[in-house]
Amino acid sequence: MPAVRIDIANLPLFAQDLIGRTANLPRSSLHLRKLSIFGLSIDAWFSDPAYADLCARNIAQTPAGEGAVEITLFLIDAQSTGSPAPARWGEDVFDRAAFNEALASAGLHGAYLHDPRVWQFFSPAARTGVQMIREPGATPDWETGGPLRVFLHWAVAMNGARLCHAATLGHDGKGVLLSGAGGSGKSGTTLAGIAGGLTTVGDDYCLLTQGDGDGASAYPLYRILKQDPAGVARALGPVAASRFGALNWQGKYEIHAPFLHRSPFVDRLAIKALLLPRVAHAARSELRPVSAGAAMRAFAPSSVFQLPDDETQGIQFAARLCRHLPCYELFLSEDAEDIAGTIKHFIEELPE
Amino acid sequence: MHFKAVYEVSTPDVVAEDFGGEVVVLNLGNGRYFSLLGVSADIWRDLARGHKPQDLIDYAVAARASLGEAVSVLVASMIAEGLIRPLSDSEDRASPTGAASAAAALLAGEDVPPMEAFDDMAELILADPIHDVDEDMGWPVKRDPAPTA
Repeated sequence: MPAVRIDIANLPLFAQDLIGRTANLPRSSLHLRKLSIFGLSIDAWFSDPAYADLCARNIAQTPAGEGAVEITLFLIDAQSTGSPAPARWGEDVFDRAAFNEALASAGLHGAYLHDPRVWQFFSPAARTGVQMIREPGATPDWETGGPLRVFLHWAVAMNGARLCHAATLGHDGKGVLLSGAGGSGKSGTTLAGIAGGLTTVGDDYCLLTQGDGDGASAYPLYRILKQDPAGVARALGPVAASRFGALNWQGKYEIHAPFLHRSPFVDRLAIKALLLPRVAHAARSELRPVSAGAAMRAFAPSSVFQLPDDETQGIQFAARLCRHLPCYELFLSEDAEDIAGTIKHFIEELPE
Repeated sequence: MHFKAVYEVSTPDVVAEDFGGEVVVLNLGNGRYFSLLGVSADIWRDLARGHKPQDLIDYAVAARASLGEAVSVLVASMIAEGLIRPLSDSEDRASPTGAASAAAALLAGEDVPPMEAFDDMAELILADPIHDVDEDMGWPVKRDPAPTA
């Protein structure tokens, strides 16, 4: 790979070259993890076994079923594979729209993370994706909590689903989305609900589908929950955190199902409402109807702006969802049992 | 401001969704998004259909001068935020059919709610994600620092 600086003009060629060269790396030097998620059967080849284990541990594995789309991913670091260091972006301005347009002209998706110098490309036609980083562990800090997020976004789109930034809670197969920017109370509400016996397909991200008038469904993306020490203490008790290990870069525990008394994760929830949590320190948690526009403002930007492309389709998807679902603000108390009970009762009252 | 020009929505960077009582407008270029309620939402729809700002200002002034000023400020803020752009004289645009949907409310002197702006997502677009954003990382477009040897 030539050590050049990349610009809009040479981007497609660089992407195709990187995909081609990486796909030809000897497999004997790589570590294979087979991932099965939402109708995708993914062969993920890693140069770093620790990164391979992290992805296999944190990504939800759901049956791919018959006719699964077969995807191959290469998650490679330059140091381990003897490749040149990842090229730098070579223009003064990074024009995201022009970047995406240049790649689209070659039938590709892509993204570039500037400071860690991470390149990510995906070819839907070849069903192949490549991530190139500098050295083992040189992924962004947030990768542990949402590994391969961008590749999953591109891949599930082939099966008609969207990756969304929303938490979920459910009961008997029915569920609600919890939407809002970071810090809005999604994860804390999810953990409180789980402690109260509710199920989930995720506390931060999930996959969503919308049928023709028959509602939305949510599917898991990750088998991991995240919560700060205070939230863990509120939901699970003061000593619960002792089994969750070290805090992550956000000062949160990354909680896996085996560390909970029962696994809260289910493979699907029929989504019947959209809730916007509000940290209100209320005496009792309370739900109040909110307009579809207000729900849209809470749901769409935080989902759309966290992904590198496909924004317009993401906005249209979010708008359909907000128009279709009843939307409520959820004014939270500080009592996890009260929060869980309020949501459980609400879900039970929702129509099938 | 060229309030006598015809404007259009600044696609593809700007995307709007109409929820009846509210229009939500997102600027994909900078991560800012906006809420337009009531008569302001009507004014957005009218501008997007090709009604000239000056026509809407004239309706408002007929009710009271300060209302005309409110419409001017609203349209100016839409232009300043890059949400709408003027069509050049050479660009064909069919005349809008029917009266402006904001006309009745403006003539009746109904208040024009200001456009509410939200920039909490802008840092996901513009910030250094490692140092400046502490929640739920997004996609940065920050350019590289000066290259090192």
